Amino acid sequence: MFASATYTTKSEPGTLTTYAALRFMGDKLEPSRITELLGAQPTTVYRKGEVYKRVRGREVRGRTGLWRLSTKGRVNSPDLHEHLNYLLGVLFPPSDRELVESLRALMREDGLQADVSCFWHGERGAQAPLVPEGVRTAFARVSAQIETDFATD
Amino acid sequence: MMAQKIWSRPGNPTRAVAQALGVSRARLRDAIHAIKHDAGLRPGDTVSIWGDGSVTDDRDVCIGNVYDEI
Repeated sequence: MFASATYTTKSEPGTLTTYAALRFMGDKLEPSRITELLGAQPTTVYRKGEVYKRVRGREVRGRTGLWRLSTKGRVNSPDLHEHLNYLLGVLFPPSDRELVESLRALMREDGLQADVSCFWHGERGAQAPLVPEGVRTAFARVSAQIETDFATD
Repeated sequence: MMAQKIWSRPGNPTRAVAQALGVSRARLRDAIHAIKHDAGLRPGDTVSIWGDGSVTDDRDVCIGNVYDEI
């Protein structure tokens, strides 16, 4: 749990699917450095030019290096805030207050960019969640902008 | 026979695209979102969706298949 964030807005009922993902990208990205630093296993990871999946016999190669941690399958909740909380817990563990500074240094050194994507799909007429300003501010500490992909049936 | 392109615009595919692929719109959006993010793209970037479920980027490179994600 990320202690310093305040959540005042809960997702409205009617959520069919929601999750969030934290992503680092860059041509010089060395996946193991981020994995070791954050102590979390990524969902998708590859260096620039590496094959990261095969689709119907065809290889898919990374345009750049990528390290991605998705909450899909890890956080079982219809509340987007719980998904964002999970990612904040990875970035800001109470046991290591210096981690984010180490991460920022690594990002500067290797020219990495970060972002967070939020996916939400709701029933027709359902109210999409809001991302609290405190959460945006917290992710901004690693220069990660939040992008939302929200829609209803 | 080559599959037909059924969507090539930025943003979310329509209900008609989901129907053409025989999946719910929620599952289709979920799959496209994950394929794009895995490929280093952003939610608003344009991809093309083909009748066999293939998804290609702006360079016509295959980056995934909807049916592999659901």
